Amino acid sequence: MEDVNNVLDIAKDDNLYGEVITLADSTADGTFLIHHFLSFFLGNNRPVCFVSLSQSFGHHKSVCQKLGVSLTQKIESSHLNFFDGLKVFGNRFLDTQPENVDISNTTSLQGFYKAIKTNYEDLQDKNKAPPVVIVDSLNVLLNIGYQVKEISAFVQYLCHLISGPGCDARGTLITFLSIGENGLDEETSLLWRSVVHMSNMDVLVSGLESGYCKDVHGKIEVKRRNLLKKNSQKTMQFKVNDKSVNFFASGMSRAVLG
Amino acid sequence: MATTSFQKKARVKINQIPGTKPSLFNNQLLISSGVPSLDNIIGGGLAVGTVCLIEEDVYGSYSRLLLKYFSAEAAMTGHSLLLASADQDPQLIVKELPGPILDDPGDVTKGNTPEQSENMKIAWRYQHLPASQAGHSSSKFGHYYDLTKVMEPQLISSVNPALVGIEELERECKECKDLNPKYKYLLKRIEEEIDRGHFSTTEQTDKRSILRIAVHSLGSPLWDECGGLASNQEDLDYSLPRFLLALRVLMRSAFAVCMITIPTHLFQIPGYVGRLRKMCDTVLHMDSFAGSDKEKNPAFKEYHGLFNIVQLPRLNSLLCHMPDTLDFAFKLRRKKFTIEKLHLPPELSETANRNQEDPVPHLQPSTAICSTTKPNKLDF
Repeated sequence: MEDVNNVLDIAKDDNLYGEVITLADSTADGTFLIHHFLSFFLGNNRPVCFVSLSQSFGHHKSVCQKLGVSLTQKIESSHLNFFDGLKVFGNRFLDTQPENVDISNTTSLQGFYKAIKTNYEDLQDKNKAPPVVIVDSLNVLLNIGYQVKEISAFVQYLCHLISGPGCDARGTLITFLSIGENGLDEETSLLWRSVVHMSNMDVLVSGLESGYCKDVHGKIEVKRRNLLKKNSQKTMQFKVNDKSVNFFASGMSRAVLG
Repeated sequence: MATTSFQKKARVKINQIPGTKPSLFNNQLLISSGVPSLDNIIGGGLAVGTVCLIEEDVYGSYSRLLLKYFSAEAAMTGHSLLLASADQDPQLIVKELPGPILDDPGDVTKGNTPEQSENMKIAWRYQHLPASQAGHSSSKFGHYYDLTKVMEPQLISSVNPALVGIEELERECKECKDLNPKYKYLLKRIEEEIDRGHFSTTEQTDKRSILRIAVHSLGSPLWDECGGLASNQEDLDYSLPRFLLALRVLMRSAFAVCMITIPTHLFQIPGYVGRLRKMCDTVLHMDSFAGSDKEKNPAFKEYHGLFNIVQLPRLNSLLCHMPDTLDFAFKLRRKKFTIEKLHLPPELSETANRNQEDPVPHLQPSTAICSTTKPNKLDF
């Protein structure tokens, strides 16, 4: 989506090699950013290793179809590797014989990391461009019992995974986290802050302070931790539509200006 | 990839599943919650394949009523029902389901026959169609119920509800280290019901139906839940979020809808309730006035409690249903339970005591938000 790229200061053909981006949402729903990045990278023919922990494949497929990308086609052409984390972690608590016991071990995320690493290296072998890892979302791991230390170590491992030898061989890492109302959930805030510390760009989507509004769905804050750029922080308001997102400066919504 | 229960209109013959309709704005398959006024505010109904969480009011009576409506709707549409409750005997709940208000289709056809005999002059294309739709109640979406009547036992037993009560939970639950044994047993039962009724999206059956799962007061002390704390009173007990994750996996691959009520006022750990909300799809909050000082507040004299939409699911699209407001109120009359937009009575008496603080903290005066009206020419 063009508008999202503009807000994040990403050009259409930007590679974002070696970048670590943290997406977070507090009182509004920020998951449109994940679908934006999915369609953006797949559209630019970057291979993507998508780890989905909170929604099923069908949901992502439908949304990306609206944005013009066919996920099934990308899987067939080895541009996309979809890791259905929801099923893997959820099936552990059902009576069915768990197949991936290593991956969903409750105390350690090592097995999970190894599985993602295998998928990443697999994509790297099959494609020229370095892969992108998108994780949606980290707070599912926190909710089911993994400690903050474990999860931030896991993200650290992923950061190391994407940093290859040369400048052009570095992948990209994008993680999504739902913080909830700011400051209320201590552990989640702690996790968010430690993940942001490891990232280059930090995006936070939150609801308006005045409450719910049908025409302005929330505000988005983008912070770049690269101190060489002049404008390191940006805040805008947005409204989500069926196939796109409209951004505008605070108070400049068409509904407000009349 | 296994297909999920989110099917586009073209692929699943939706008109063949009684009691469902596609959503108006994103082709999602919806079922009625049993309360038509609730269906209207959440975007048409509950989406198939999702989990609806109702945060209970303090005494639990109104959330139990919503569950009864949900279960009664199963009997009316021929959907299957699984009802689980540890606090109350599910047999008792099922005996108290409200009776439906049935329109008498006989009057309608009698009224139409004189017109039928003449040739239609304008709409002659429709002459060959039958006069009135066969008023079969199972094809209608959303029914009205009369709380003074009780549903007939034959109607309830026709859907053969599966009931899970406290004795069964205590008897059958097995020791488990990942999860509270009672939750694990409930998951097992739900999975069994899905298999038995062929509700999984991977199975092909001729007669598709929907499984309604109603869980009453999950997370209450009778489920061995300690407000989210483990037995040592210090660590968190992750059973409930794990249960909800596994439940989501089950729901996403079945033609089923789950409605659970949780007494969230018992969970005092900050942020814990927020986590539970994120693990569910639709989240609604009920706050009754019974026993609080709001009961005497003249602003609320018509209503029995506040009803808030906390979260609506975003399924298969970038956008979720955005209602005009999230704050509603409900009222329980002798025969009917309705949910309406909260509006203050026309005139608050001047002698009534008013609290210092705003009695309705979430209510925003409509002029402050995104007003699109042009300035009135009469203002000066």
